[in-house]
Amino acid sequence: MRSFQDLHSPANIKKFADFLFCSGDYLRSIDEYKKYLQSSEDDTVEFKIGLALSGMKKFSEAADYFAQTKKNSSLYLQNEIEYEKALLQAGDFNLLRSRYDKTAKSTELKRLNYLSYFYGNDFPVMDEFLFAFPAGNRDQIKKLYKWKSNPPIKSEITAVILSVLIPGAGKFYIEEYGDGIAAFVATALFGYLSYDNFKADHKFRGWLFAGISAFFYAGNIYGSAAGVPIYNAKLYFDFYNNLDAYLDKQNYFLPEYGFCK
Amino acid sequence: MKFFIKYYIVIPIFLPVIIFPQTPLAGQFSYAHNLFNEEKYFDAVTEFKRLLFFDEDSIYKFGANFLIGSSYKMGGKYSEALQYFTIAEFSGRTPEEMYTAKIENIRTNILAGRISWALKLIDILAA
Repeated sequence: MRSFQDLHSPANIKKFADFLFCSGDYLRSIDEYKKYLQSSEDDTVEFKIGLALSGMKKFSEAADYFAQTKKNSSLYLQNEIEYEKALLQAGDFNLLRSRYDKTAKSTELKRLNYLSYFYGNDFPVMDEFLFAFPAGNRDQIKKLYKWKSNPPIKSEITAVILSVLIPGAGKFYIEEYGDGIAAFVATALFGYLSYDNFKADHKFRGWLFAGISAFFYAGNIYGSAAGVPIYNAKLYFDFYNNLDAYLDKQNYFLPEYGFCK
Repeated sequence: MKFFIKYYIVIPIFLPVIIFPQTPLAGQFSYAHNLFNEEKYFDAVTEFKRLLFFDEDSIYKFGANFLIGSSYKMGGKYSEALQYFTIAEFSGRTPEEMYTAKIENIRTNILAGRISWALKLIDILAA
């Protein structure tokens, strides 16, 4: 390099931008790539800007960026794939599915379309769904498919009935074991105290303890019913967290581009 | 704080380079340092990173990492600042440079609320 300006030449700007991109400093890499594009046109650099936006988890912006790709771009198909992946990550499933063309030969586009069904309420037939994915991943996909088709959610009615029959049983049903034991012990203890006081003809104390026992009994029924939506929400939360982590690890079953070897 | 960094740390270390900024890397260092002085910390970090990328002989490794850490610290990004002060500490060529980086590490830990860790670092430094 002969001068300070050489460090800021287009070629060196691109080298530095590639370094920032591969280091995960996406915001700076976008700035540098945009500086580079002021002096040159480059489809790969445009594509990397979109990938950097996805890397920053700005999926809607990434989708808008990939959507602007011209049809004569050398990376048009890759842009289409990343566009649909960004739509999936941004949660725009309706647009993703409306764009899906069953005659399209791209396996990647088919997989992205199928993956969107994990975030909705209807599923294609299992065999057709599974065969879209690589053989080594089908067991895991099958588990996820089965879970989503038939999630192990709890029923409020069952929780209430159990709590009515045995205080605390509803809490055990939703796996709140500590609360279940506490509800059973409190209801049973005050119930026994009430019985014992009535037996000893202490009517005031008998009614007092009966009232406290009834309070715990009613509270246990209400708590079991109120706990079911929370339990089910946690179930779905954990499922989607695990699903997102799995898909990230598999790169959404898309090929790696090898920009950072 | 900026006054201290500028006049008591950076200028003495890089005085020859600042007086005779003939090389491209020296010019880049001056440019980045000006951005730091103008409180354009995001751009300063970018330009210091550019300097480090092209500095194959690691001449500016301590200074650039130290000032990247200072930029992040001024911007309130203490985790990033600590990362770069640590790199500066390990790339210091003189005891003064290493000591300066250690002190900034301790200060940044205090700002980040990691008081017990800062006290441990002080004990290590005092030993």
